[in-house]
Amino acid sequence: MPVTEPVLTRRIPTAPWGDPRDRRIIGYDEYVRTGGYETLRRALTMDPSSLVQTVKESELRGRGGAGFPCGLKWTFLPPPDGNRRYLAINCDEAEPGTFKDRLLCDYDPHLVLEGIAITCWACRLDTAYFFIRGEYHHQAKIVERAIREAYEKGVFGGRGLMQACDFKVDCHMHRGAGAYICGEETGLLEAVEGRRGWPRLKPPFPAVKGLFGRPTIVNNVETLAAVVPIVDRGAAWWKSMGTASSIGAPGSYGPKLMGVSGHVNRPGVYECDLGIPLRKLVDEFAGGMRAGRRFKGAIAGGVSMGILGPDQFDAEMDFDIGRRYDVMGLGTACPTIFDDQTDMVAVARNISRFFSNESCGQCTPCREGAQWMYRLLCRIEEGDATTKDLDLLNELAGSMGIIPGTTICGLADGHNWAVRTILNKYWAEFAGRVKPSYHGLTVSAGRADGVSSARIVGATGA
Amino acid sequence: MSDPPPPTATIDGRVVPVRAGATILSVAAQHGIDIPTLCHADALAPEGGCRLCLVEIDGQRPQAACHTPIAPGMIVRTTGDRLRHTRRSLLSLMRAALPADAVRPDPAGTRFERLLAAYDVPAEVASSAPRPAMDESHPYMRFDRSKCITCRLCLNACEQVQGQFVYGIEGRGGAARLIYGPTDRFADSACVACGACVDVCPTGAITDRDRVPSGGARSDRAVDSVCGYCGVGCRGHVESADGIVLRVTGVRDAAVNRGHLCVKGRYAHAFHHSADRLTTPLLRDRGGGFRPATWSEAIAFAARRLLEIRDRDGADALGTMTSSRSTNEAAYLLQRLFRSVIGTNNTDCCARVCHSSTAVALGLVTGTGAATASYADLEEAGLLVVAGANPTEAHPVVGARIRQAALRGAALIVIDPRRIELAAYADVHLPAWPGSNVVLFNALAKVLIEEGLCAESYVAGRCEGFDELRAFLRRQSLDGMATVTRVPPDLVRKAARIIGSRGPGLFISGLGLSEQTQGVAGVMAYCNLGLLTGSLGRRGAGMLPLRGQNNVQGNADMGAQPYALTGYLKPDDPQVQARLRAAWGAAPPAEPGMTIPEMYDAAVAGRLRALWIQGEDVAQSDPNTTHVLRALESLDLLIVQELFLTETARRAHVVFPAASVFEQDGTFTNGERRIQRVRAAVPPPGEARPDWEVIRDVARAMSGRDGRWAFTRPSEVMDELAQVAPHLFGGVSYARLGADGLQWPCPDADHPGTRTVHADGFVRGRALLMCVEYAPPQDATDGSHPYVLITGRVLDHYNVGTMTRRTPSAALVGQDDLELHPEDAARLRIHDGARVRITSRWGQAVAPARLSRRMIPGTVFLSFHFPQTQTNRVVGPYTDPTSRCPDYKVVAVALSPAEEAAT
Ligand SMILES: Cc1cc2nc3c(=O)[nH]c(=O)nc-3n(C[C@H](O)[C@H](O)[C@H](O)COP(=O)(O)O)c2cc1C
Ligand code: SF4
Ligand code: SF4
Ligand code: SF4
Ligand code: FES
Repeated sequence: MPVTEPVLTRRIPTAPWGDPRDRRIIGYDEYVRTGGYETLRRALTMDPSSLVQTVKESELRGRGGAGFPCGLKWTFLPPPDGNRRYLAINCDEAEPGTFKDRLLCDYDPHLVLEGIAITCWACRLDTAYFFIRGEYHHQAKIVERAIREAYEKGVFGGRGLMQACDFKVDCHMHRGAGAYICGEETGLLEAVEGRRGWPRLKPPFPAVKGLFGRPTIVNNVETLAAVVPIVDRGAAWWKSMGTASSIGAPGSYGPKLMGVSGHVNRPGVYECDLGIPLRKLVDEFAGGMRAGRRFKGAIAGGVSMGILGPDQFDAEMDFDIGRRYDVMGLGTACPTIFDDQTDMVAVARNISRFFSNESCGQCTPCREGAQWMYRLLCRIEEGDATTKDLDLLNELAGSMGIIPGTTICGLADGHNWAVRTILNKYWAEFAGRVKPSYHGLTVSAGRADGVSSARIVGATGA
Repeated sequence: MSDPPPPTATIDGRVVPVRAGATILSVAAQHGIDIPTLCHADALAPEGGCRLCLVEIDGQRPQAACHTPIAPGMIVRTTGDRLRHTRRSLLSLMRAALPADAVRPDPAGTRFERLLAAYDVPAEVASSAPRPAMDESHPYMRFDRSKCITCRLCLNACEQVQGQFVYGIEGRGGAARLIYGPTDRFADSACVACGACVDVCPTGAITDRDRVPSGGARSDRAVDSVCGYCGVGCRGHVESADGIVLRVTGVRDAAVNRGHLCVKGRYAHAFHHSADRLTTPLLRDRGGGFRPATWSEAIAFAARRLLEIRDRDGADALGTMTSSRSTNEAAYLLQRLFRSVIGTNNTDCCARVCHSSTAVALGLVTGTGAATASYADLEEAGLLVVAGANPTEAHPVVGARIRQAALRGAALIVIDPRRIELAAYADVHLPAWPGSNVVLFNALAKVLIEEGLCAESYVAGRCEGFDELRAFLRRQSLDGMATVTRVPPDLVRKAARIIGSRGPGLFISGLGLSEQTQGVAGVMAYCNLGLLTGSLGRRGAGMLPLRGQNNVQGNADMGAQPYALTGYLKPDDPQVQARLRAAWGAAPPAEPGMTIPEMYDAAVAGRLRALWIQGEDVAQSDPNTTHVLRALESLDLLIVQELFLTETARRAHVVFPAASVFEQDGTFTNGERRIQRVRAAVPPPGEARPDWEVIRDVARAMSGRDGRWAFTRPSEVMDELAQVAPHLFGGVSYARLGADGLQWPCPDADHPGTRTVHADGFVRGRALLMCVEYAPPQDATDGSHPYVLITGRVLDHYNVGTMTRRTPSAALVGQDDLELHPEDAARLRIHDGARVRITSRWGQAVAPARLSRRMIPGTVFLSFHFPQTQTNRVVGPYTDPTSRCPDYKVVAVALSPAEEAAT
């Protein structure tokens, strides 16, 4: 069933229900006037475990990219033992093309804070760290002010609302310093602890051993915001939006913020039901392709997910998208649209540069292999490569990530899927840019950087 | 009902039992299945970065064996074409980032080079970037960036073993590279040269500079022995070639040090082949110089003179100081010689000048004058209190473990006038004014008692004197105490509450407690805290004094004390006398003999005529140096056993060239009462001989070849020791010592040794809580001597530096610095590096200033490693009235800028 009213954007005018020009920051008073913190007030009268149960029944899936069932994650927490338990709010939002959490921070920060407070009560967490990406200066100010208001009004700090149930939540803001890897949940925890944001080995998972060695839930901003309407209106209502899985996987329910960018007429964040075909999102929400051009492809939802090819414009934007359309997944559901004038080699090269710069440097393939890929793509773009290099690129990309087991975190999988899907879905375009390779000819073709193609093939054992 | 069969998994077709929490890698290793790794080391947390250890698991994607727990029913494959292919690509990627000539596949090379060979990684894959220069700025370690694969093993070892946090990673992605401080120079880094990183580096990027590069000379001999520096007693693997020690590495599974060493134990070994080692006996000639002599000449001379003086002036006109650096066997024989052949209890050792107060106090409180706990307790303790010790510099391997304990979350309280390194890791640092230990401990005890934080049933059941102590402390006020300690009462309360709530704890102490005029009193007041928290006799808790020198514990155990015999037996006990008469041929006198300070006084007064000093440069190390020199110069006979012609040896009548720690067999006893085997790695230079042999020969010459002196091996000395003091050593023999030795008490052959003393009750019955009154330091500050000088050691050197100054350590620290607070420096118009004259009521010294906020204003610190500083000339004659331990820690001094040195 489609979304018939704005949910997360109830207070943020957004097409088709409102005009973005009417947007303004919703302060505490206005938030409360429009029904805000009522859900928290009611939740505090309820048994925490029943709240976890509600979220579980709603089948809410994480909005940060991995789509992990939120209620299930919460049940991984050990029972409280009297010591600290944390909530880490992931507002790193550093995925290229993703800007949906920003919308919530910009205009309705109290919705997120209410979600935080309810989650802390439901999961018995006493300290929340709001991790916000360094570049979000403006958003950090808004959220910080909202946190201050929430303290003053007794949402946080154990006075006011919480006092009745003898519960206290503290909420601190932690600003990032400009590293994509700090959005990976355990990289985020390291950063909050004051160290380099290097993803941790798992297990143990954060729910068992997270911040400062204590049980920790990491959730995305949008996930937490969604908790409020779910608790308010119930799991059945939530599941009335979105779609069940067509392939027997967990469903894709509820509305979703989708940030559309690229070659469309009206880029921006829209609230749609999960399962909406990409074409409909572009045509009905984003004003159609720019200058009437033809669709050539789209990043599915953040560059890590890979690309939807020219024939996949009708792909349904739900959590089944990965298996049905040969991308890694829905990701953040923020597609970047490319029109027919786009140079896909340049796109791949650009994305590869991002990943080789943002690799944290822990894992051999991601640290070293990423650079090889980027250099290969530069060469392809410059017309200096051979067809064999395409095979090499394909193999190198395919060999890195959690899925082949060669890395600690998913950043390398993102690089893998982005490059591999672009290469394979636009093979002809790549093939047209390279010289044919004849075995034996390129063996001695030394390069300025001292590396020949044949040697690199040797490097991967091909 | 029968137990269910233990869960199993399968690795490469072999069924293996599953242990909870074990990784696939560790279980595979246990079953002899080798999985390649490049970022894993057994003692370190998994890093998981290299991914070489990937294995295939049925039903899962490939996983890294080093951090994936094994689970019941898992079917794991560690080899196969796919894995080989993946590993080969990973190795290629690593190699490709390095310059071509930096590494090469080599089945006999480093771990990385062996893997390159095993996986057949093509040699042509390489970066063409220019090869970066080698960093050789440090005397002991070098870094070759062109070999580094950024595996971070060094970083993890540095953090998880040493706790020094020298390394970091700079940059992201392919630009990630290892750094060790703001510059690319080890010498400028925070490195303390423990070498833990070198041991784990798989590529040879970090290497030791004391060892022969691979492909060079290989060692022809290797033994496991014990470090000859501090009282931690680390076990080292000593490799040598052609009579020269090439390298020392920590013995990996040693109980004491688990593979770790410090800069001294690992690197400072070159002194043993220093050109100025003594190689022949020396006799004073008529002109006042020395002439080389044969052993028989020198031994006959010593024996004859000792007998002559005894016969002329009586046995008590002779005395000896055994060496804490020599073996138990040597100390035992030397005290036996003086007690039985000469007939005097004038036997003392340098423990007098360090931990005698600790031994006396612990003896009074518990009945045994030694540590009640062991180093293994460092890992089990939930609370550690460190008082008057600076372990990260003076006992580095223990210091590192204290730091690890604090990093793991154990509570740490540091009590020291200086803000020592550990203070940064402490929950509370109490900077007690020098000389106020007693008051501070009393204040802590007061809070414990008055806030009901004591271990009541322990105190009631195992201690006596509680009511008296409570009444005694009730009469004092925290505010009044604070005027003495200059520590705010709130800080004292905070510390006491932590001690009370986190105890039982491990109470660690050092010379800052014992080397004071209130040394014994201070240690007793410290023991009160241990008793009130119920710590003594418990695992993971107790008293752990850190012994200064390698065998200071052993020397006291052997009987190198004037008032106690071997094994702390009482000289006036008739049963003991009978036993010794049988074993030694003559029983020692019943009256105690003279302590070291008393011997100096007696020498100056003409009552002591002969002195045998074993391996101690007392002319430099003992306080009030002027007085000591007078004493030495008034003797008729001074016998010195030494490695070098020290200031003390220069004043001898006969000098016996001694074997160093690397050149003899025997045993040392470390600060946790552990008797461990010392083994010769190289022969002594020239005609130098182990101390024990020389003592035996002198005794034989004196006693007419008495059969009771017919020892042919050190193990026979140990066998006699077991008979003489069976209550402590009855079960000790070389055959039983094994790799990790035995901790005394070990009364019989089936006894496993004792990790925790007093576990089943105190040796003296109930432990004593003591009411300890404060007495101000005798060397009081006044208008003309307004500053308090504290003396002590720094990391890179050892005592008076006889050994370490003869190693490349001299390049790390080449002088003694005077540390003082910038405020004092400003007042005195002394700038950093300026030379300062330090004047006490007893003497003067000159040293360069180092401004340091580690000091409390009004206090200064000076080390005593370099003879030119003559630190100990400044130290006064005051000693503890009971232990006679000198006060090195509270000296009133005046400071003034010194004119530039004439040289
Ligand atoms: C390289 C990398 C970057 C990530 N960046 C973000 C991010 O910026 N924001 C986010 O919410 N999740 C990010 N994630 C996903 C988080 O690891 C985690 O799954 C998420 O925060 C969980 O919250 P959710 O379950 O509410 O979605 C990232 C993951 C990876 C591997
Ligand atoms: S995959 Fe890349 S970003 Fe992730 S931990 Fe490994 S090196 Fe770091
Ligand atoms: S120096 Fe050695 S141990 Fe350290 S990162 Fe480099 S290769 Fe690894
Ligand atoms: S800690 Fe002490 S015993 Fe251990 S290596 Fe260092 S000096 Fe030697
Ligand atoms: S040894 Fe397992 S990842 Fe390096």
